[in-house]
Amino acid sequence: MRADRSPILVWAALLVLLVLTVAASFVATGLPSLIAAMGIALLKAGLIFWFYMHLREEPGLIRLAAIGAAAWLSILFFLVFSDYLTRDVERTPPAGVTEAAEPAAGAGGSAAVDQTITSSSMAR
Amino acid sequence: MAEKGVEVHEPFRAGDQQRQADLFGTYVFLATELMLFGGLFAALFAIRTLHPEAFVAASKRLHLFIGAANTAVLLTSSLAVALAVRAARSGDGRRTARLAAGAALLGLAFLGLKGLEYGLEYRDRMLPVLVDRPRFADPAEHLFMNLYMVATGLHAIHLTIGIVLMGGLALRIRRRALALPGRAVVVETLGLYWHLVDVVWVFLYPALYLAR
Repeated sequence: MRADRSPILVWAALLVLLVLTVAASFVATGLPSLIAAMGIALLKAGLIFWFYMHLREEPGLIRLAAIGAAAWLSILFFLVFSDYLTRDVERTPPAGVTEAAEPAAGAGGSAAVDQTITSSSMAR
Repeated sequence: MAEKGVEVHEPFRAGDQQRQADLFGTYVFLATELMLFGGLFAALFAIRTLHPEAFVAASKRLHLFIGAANTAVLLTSSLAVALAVRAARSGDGRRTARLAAGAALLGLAFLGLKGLEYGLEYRDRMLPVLVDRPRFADPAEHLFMNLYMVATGLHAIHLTIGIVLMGGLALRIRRRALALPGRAVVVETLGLYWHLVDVVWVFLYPALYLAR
């Protein structure tokens, strides 16, 4: 507790990460962009929790209370996205049955399926 | 960390035990806040999954650099709060009060910039509800802007509460109504809330402004 150096170092690291995340948004698109943005945000949150919110100095019980919300949120996200991310599976027609009904779906891979979903949701 | 001058209240036997309970309670409260914002994030990512192109197009219309400046302002306010907690623990009341007041002012600067940004969006007819005939490229952008308003508005309300409490804390310390370092835990728990509001913005900023 002698010097105030470590909070200032953490602040500098946070600002560097801010510059990085803005820079990444100009470079990456799609899934890599999302991963970079959320990865850097997690890193920043980790720095804030560990140093500014003093988890570094606290015993296990306090740390457990702090990550409790993260555990519940991961359940929320798992259940929500087990729906949204698997919807295109249902839309893929069984092989050789409805080729004519959904022409784009047979073209291969999830990219083509994504395209179908996007264009159909846009059309509405 | 055993501090001297800590008043131990009824159910507790030791200052350390009391402090742990204070922090534990605060973290449980903050967990409920995270759950509240977590629901908004789930909705945001669901819309992004369903309408990837429209989501990115809507995100590109937001003011990226005002958001970045605001992130820097909020991170700096968090530094002030972290330094205030250190000063409070070492019993330096004057320094604690000054740093807490500085954090509150930075919070106000954030709200000012946010207000400016809302103003620009109002002018460009991008704000749902407030604007008469909003101009959206498609319904998905309308959805995005609805969530943008709810999420940033809810965050601004949390920050406003933080500013009022932080300003009040600075006044109480200045008037010596809060004995330091004995009651440093008050600064610590309010500091935890302040940092959490910062963490929420750390996720809101890339999720809303940086979708590409």
